[in-house]
Amino acid sequence: MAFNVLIVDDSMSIRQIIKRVLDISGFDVGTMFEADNGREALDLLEGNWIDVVISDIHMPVMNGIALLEQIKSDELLKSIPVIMVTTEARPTVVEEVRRMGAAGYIKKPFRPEEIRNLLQAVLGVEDVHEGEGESDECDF
Amino acid sequence: MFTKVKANLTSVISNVLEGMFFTFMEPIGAAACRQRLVGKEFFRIAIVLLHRTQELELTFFFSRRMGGQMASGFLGAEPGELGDDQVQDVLKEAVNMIAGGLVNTCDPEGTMVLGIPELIRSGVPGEELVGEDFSACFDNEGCPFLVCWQERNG
Repeated sequence: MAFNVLIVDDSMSIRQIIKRVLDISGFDVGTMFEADNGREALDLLEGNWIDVVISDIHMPVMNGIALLEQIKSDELLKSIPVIMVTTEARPTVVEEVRRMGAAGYIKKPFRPEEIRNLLQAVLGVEDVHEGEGESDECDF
Repeated sequence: MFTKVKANLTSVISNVLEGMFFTFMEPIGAAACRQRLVGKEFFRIAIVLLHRTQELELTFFFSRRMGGQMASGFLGAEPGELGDDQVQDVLKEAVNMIAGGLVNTCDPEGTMVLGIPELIRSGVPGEELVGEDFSACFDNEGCPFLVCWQERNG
């Protein structure tokens, strides 16, 4: 089953890196949508089937916490898992996004396997790289 | 509040640039730095940290060569293959990671607010910077990398 992924980050470089990680990780990705900020992400969520959102926190226009809040308060969207990928690692912020319903949290700089492992856990898929070494868990 | 940020700047810069951008820095004195500015061009990127009514603006000057190398390493592209917009985007992300590392290290209680990195200007000639008062200077394979900080009360 192919997954549609929405990557939300104001840095096109980070979007590019995450896309590359997904490409090489062996996930069956259907469509990769991209948004520059939370507002653009909500527009894409309205018109498309998205299986998972990977979002930065610090973005202009609408930040990742506001986006998470909007998704989790919308009856149609609230079941979509949201993974936060951000430079913010302060316990207060991590706890806030966990409480708000984020499915996981990855701190930049990140290692590719951190994203892969968390996506596997969140999407409930088999190990797409079976046989490789163990890597650190990175969800809550 | 910002004293700790300033004290941790060098170690956080090294961690981020070495770990994520494969760029190694050596702290150098301001005088040595000034000698290496002439004939080079810089990207100037700023970010603001807020704490109640105080703000600390950090301004980073990346030489064009160092910026190009960082971007090509980060994106897995050949040197010279990337345009200025891609290089600037990578450098803004580097600044974002440095500032994020600083608040994570210095403000675990979460009292500081992190701004968004902003490109102030690209193509700044090194000659313009000779008289500046830099807060921290580094060398990367003969290219200077400079940081200024400015504290303000709102």
